[in-house]
Amino acid sequence: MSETREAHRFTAGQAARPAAEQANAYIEVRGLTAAYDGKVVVNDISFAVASGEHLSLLGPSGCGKSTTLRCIAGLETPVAGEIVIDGEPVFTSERRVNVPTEKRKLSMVFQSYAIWPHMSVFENVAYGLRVQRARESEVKERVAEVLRMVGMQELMMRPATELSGGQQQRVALARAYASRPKAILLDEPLSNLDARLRVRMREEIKELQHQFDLSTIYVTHDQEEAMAISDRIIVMRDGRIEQAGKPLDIYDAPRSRFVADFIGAANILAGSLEAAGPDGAPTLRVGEARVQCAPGSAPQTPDADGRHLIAVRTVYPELRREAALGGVNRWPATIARRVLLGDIVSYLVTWPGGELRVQSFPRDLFEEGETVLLHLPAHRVVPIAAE
Amino acid sequence: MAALARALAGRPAGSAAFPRIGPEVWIPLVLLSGSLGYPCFLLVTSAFNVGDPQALPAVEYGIGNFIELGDHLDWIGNTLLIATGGTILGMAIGVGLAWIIHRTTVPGRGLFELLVAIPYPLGPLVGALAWSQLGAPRDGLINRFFVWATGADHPLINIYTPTGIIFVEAIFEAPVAVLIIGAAMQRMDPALEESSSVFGAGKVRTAFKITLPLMLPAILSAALFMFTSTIGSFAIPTILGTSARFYVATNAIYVLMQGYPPNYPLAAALGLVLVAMTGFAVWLVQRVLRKRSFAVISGRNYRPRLVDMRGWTWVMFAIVWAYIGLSLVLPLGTLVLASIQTSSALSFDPAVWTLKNYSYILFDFPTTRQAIVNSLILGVGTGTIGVACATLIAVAVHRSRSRGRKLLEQVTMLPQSIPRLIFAFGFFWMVLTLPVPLYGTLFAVLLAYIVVFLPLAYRGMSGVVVQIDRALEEAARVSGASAARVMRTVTVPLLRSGILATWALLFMVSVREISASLFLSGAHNPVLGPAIFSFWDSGGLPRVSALAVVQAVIILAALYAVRRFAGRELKI
Amino acid sequence: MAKRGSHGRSALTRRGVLIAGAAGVAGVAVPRLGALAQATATPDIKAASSEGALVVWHGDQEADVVEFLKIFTQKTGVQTVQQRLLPGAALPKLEAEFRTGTSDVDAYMTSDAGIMENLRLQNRLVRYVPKEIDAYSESYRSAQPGWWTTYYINAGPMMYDPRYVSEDVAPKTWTDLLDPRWKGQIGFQNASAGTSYAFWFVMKDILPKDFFEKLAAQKPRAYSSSTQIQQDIERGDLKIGGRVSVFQYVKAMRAKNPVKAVFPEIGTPSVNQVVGIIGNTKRPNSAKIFVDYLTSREGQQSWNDIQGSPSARSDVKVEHVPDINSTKLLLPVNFPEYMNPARRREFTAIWNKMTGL
Repeated sequence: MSETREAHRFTAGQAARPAAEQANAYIEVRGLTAAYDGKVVVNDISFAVASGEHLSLLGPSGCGKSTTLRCIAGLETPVAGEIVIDGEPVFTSERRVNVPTEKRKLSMVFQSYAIWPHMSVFENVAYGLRVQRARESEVKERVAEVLRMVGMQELMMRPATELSGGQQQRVALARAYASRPKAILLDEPLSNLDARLRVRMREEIKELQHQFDLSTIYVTHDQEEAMAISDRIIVMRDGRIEQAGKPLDIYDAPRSRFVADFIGAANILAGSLEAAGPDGAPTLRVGEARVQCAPGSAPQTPDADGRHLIAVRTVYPELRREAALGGVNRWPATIARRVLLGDIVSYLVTWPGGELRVQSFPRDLFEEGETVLLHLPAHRVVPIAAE
Repeated sequence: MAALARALAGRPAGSAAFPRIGPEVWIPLVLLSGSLGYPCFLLVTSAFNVGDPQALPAVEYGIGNFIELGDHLDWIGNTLLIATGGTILGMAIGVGLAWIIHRTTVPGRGLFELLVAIPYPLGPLVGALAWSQLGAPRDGLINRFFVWATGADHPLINIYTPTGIIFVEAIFEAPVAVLIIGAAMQRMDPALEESSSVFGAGKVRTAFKITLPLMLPAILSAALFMFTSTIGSFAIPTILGTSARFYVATNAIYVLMQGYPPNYPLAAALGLVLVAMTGFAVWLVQRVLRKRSFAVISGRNYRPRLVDMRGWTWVMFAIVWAYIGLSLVLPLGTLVLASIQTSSALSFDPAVWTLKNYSYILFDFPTTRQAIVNSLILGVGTGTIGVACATLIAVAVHRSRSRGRKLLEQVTMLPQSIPRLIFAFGFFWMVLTLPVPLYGTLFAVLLAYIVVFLPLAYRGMSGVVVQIDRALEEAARVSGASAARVMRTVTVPLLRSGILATWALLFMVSVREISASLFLSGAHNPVLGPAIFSFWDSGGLPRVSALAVVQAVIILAALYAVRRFAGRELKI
Repeated sequence: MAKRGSHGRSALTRRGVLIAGAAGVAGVAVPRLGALAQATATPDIKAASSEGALVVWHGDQEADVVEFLKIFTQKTGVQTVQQRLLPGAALPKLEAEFRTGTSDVDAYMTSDAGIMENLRLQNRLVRYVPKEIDAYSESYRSAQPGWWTTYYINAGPMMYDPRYVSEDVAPKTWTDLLDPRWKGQIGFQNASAGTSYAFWFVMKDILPKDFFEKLAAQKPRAYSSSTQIQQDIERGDLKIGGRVSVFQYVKAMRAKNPVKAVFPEIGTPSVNQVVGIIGNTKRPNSAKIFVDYLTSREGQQSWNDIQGSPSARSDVKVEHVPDINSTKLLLPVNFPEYMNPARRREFTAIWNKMTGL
């Protein structure tokens, strides 16, 4: 990948403007603030979801992502802000508008699936349509259709109590799509499944996304999940938006230590600022090494000791069996430890700047104690703000 | 104890080919079967006795008594009338209150939860005495107020009627429904209702299509409890019905047993009919619930989603206060007022007020003094021994791997199908015929109480035992603790709040009990319930009210103590 | 006991046999004689104090009995416990206890002298002639004195409260009870009460044959005690007490209540309330001391003052209590019939039905 293209991506991510703000916004949230037991859990956030877009709210537990989702659904009442769905305000704190949940025409998949145990699979899925007073023949057709899409059509007449976790999950999905909603909200729908099933369901959800092309807001704490299925991600922390953008943009250009740590694995290095290099890229002295940062980047807020932080994702440092002939961001290094994780190899590398974690593939394994050439591509070195 | 502990260690009892019944199961089974079975046997033989009514055991057998019951179908009809009416009204009140307290945004819910629970342990005796003075056609306070306020020439209510009896039964049983249904509401995942809203269903539709069906097991369970309770109810029909010529099975049995010569066989036959009705109801509900046993009870406690009632909020607030007024404030207030009177007519003139009724029952009258002390002893004894037995049985049923666990549970719960008055009458005979000199002792009453209240204790302890995660006990075993040590250091401490709550419940119901001790209590072993009853017979309203107030104070003190030391976990 | 010795000693002497025989007879006869002796023997106060608390069963108002017993204990030092049991409840309990050998009651006070007689015939009473038996005429004691003695006369007039029932419409005699205006407003004690039995027993022969049938149509109400009847009358919830123990009237007078008692000319059904000692009493001395006191002049004055009832002794007078000599009292006379359990059964069936059971 050429360095210039990387730089462009970087700056685009850095701008951090919500992509679909004006023209295409289907769901819009402005200045949303929500509190719980006197404590503020969502603090004045704003974002928009375009029509057909899949947006993930990603963050650790307690960051306010579920609350935000429930506010959009109408299950919680925010303290302040505005929520607009398909051009119609469903909540405005100033003008005292608060459309009740049942009138917002959304669908939701709950973390516990909320499949009604006293009904059959069919009745569960048909519920929303029946509320809308659809004709029974239409109901039957639609229910059969969505059940087929999730592969549950054979269990259509089964009582819901006989379903396994994964089956319940699928029924919940089918139910969500069956009622022809304006948008779909999913609240950590996969967190109760085991790892294998989670991956498979993720694929299925992505598939269904393409088929139905509905605006989706997806809440999760699993960054892998968010990366895999989102068009855009909003990283939240303590009720605020830390960073928003396309998955790869966030991945490549995290703006804070928190985001860097949260998405993927990153090395966080601290050093003192030195004179800028060519293209005005900042240079840091990290330990014995002089590290050049990505061109076009600017140093961020230093920490309490005045040191500046940079992040390098563990997959980006290059290790080669070459002699270190000098050059920008190239040093001799030693493999201190190697851990084989199956599809991935994790190296702990000692270099003039200290220690670095590097992830690679099992091709051309290095041995522990081996001396290698370490190259940190400058455009992968991202200055981040300290907390 | 060692055998019990070993069995609980989970070592398979016996080999796979010959699964053994461990001692933790057969010992309680034998004890219970004996103390239940023998009285029941005596009852049955008496019911079929067509010879000398007082022969013990009977010599001539036949179904003559049951045929004779055909002449008295009104007793059975009245019993069903009261039981059905009382259950329906009681459930309506209970479900309504549970909804308001646990599911709406009505202010003061914490306080309501506390106050609404009080009428049940206070009991039907206190309730009936109080309401007989509130609703008497001429002298009742409510009617006097009505006549004074409106100048009417007829009373507003007459409590000495089947309707009156149903009303008093309902308001004093309703707290059970509130507790059972409230607990179920807290165990239902709110997402089930939320998703219904999300898919477009309004509040009413959600309530009927989602909430109600999911609450059905709890509703049926509460209704069954109320039904069996009112079938066997004695104090209310006797106090409010006898002088109105209204007889249900229980007070008919009481009168039959006091006639000379007493008609034991007819009374026993009537008792068996009651047992059959109760047993049938229990069986019916179990069948209905078996098909609909959804795992709504997840062991987790949720905070149920609250419904904002908007304009209706103050109506609901008033409804709850109305209930508290009718079941707590008015009755207690009336009893206190009656207890300070010098004559049986209720007067608001402070000049006639006096405390001498209290000094009489507490100091001068040896029977009541002794009765109060005895009832406290009984309360402590029933609580302690009852909880201990219930815990051991609950642990044996839910943790051991011995055979016969299910049978043990069923035998333990059996007394709830037998109205206490009936059981007490069989127990009275058993005590008379045993070679052991139990008759006339407090111990006989204690034994009777333990047997009849064991189902209640077991229900409480069983629920708590089930909720303990096995992993907690297993972790202790992995760390090297013997099974007995695990029980002592892990299981019992975890059960602590359940133990305290169940103990308190047993204490309260035994202090207020009258049916189970009526025949066993005598000159040597007076007990509070029968003493109040005997006072009602010939002691005059002021004194009986004073005694009822004393009983109420004891119960309220116990309630307060439990809340203070064990939190709010009063489960039924 | 004559000893069977070896051949060497002939221990079987005539004297030995005589002694043996005498001892044998004595062994059998002495207890019987002892019982007779016991019956008339003066109670031993010292022995009484080690016997434990005296158990008294009665059917009167509990508070009155307790007060009396307190005075008794003060005067004699004998401790007591009491239990109120109407005859209908006491008898079955006594029967059951006797059958199983666990009886514990000592002194029995009842409104049904017939029951006492039955007990006597079943050898379940102890005969003890009280010291002051001479103050009691024949009608107020057992035929052979000492089995039971009357400790008060329970006369049973009708009663009403003039605040709720005006005097001109109030019943003047028994048949006035059949007036339809009193439907559902007449109260009696229930079938367990000895006084109810006596009422029926006596009045069935004096009043018209269909009286009780017609009375049943009035749907009278049943109560557990005369106190309850009096209470409802005072509260205005019951208009007429069909038969109320006279001491309720006296108590009402003392409390300045306006209640009125009606003693019809044709007579007022009454019973002897009698006291006796139960057979296998464990506390014979205390029991005798009790009977002595209850029947003594002092005891009678004390008891009847407390309760407000007429004494069988002519030398005991209580204020407000109607003079038994000037009121026509109808006591059950045909004793064999009165005692007959079959009669009692008949009564119970009729009375229960009449009161709605």
